[in-house]
Amino acid sequence: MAPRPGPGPLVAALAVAVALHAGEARAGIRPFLWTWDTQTVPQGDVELEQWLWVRGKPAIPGYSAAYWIWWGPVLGVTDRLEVALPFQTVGTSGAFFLESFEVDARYRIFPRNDDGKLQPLIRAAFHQAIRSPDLYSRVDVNAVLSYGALSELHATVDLGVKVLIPFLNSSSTPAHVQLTYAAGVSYPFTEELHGGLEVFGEVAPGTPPPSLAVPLPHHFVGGSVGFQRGRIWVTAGLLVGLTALEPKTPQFMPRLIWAVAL
Amino acid sequence: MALSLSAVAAAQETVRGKVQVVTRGEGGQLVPAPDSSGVVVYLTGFDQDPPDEVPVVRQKFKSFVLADGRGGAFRALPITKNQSVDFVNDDVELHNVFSTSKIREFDLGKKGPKDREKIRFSKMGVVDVYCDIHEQMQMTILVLPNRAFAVSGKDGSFEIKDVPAGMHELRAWMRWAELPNPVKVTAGQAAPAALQVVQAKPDEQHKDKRGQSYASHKDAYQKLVQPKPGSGTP
Repeated sequence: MAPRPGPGPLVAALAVAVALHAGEARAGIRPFLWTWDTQTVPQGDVELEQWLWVRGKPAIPGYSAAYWIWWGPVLGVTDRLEVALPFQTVGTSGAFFLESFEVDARYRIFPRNDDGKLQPLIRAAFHQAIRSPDLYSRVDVNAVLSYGALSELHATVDLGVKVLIPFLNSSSTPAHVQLTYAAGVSYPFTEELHGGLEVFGEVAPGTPPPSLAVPLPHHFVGGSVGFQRGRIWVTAGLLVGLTALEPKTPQFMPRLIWAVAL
Repeated sequence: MALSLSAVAAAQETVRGKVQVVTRGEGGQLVPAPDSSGVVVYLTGFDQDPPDEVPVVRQKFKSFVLADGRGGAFRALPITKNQSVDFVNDDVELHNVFSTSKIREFDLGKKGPKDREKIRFSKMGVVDVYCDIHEQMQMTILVLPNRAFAVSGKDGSFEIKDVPAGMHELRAWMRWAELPNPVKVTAGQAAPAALQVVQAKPDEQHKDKRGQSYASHKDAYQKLVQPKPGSGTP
């Protein structure tokens, strides 16, 4: 086969020099607040992950802010599949309770070490409500597509469906479907620090049942900052409700996500 | 330690030569090493597509072992850009092969016996590969622009076949060695050259996949043979 003109020794020497400046392997870090991403935990690894977040009060009567804690282990089952087993608690001005258990599986179409720019992922989760303010358990399915590694400009699109079902629940309310959309871009400022911008929204086709804890639709934009060192990573930021577009949207929705690899 | 390299572009499409590995004695004099094998010798200045074959790197007896049986931290596996490497756990316990190199960052996770996974290398450069469980396991993958490379034998001799016509730069690489200056060679023309490079003292210290010391998660064997300070007996 005929050779092609090569990059020359200078480029080869530069490549060697760059290689000597090693970065840190990124594990299951989430670069966004609400946009599901394609990063997964390596096979055999376990991370303890926690979310602290607030859904602010919408500017309409009868609704209040809610404070959520999501906590659980995230298991790297294979080089494509990670499973989270969290529980969630909810606090409001008048109550604090265990809200749900979840089984949350995220499956990469390509192995996590694949070096392709485009990486699709399917997320499927079952959310068993224990004392849900909207009296629904839920099945979530998300289709996620990312472009680029986290060490460069990284973009992700996430489209989801939530099927709210009265499973193991005395409610006689009918099943209900919600749709979600999210997209984000993140950029690494340094090896350890990255920033992200994202949009997120929830819509309810048809007429949602009146028992929902928050009225839909919601539309948000916001940003986040992430930090990673050693076994710990943190992503924190704020989504701002587009209340001019949809008055039912809560004004603010901050979230802090952190994890430690065991 | 130093490298001495002489090469002759003997026949059309073949470059032959000899690499001599030398060490620096206590007085600073250069002393030929008894074994000159394992030096990667390669040509630069042109690109080629990778071959179809996928080199296999086995994890065996807590060491990386190449297809020819070579192993140890000094050994390097040369491949062509866009070629894949098949990492196979041929041991009886878990391994976690990873690299934090910017050329190719990867983390295979904890792989059990007989598990395997292929990794493709699409950028040129040096990729140091380790195991997150066994600190002593390390190797290097050298991702080169073409297929014109060879690994020296024990006497230092090498032969690079299928070299395109024309003048090329011949280089040598060995871990922990200062790279020798390149030698101009022309396929079909005799062009002997000799290079010497003083090699730094080997430094096998490295971090785990999260950039931290292995002290917090030494494997069972290491804990057994490395007693706590002051315990007295091995």
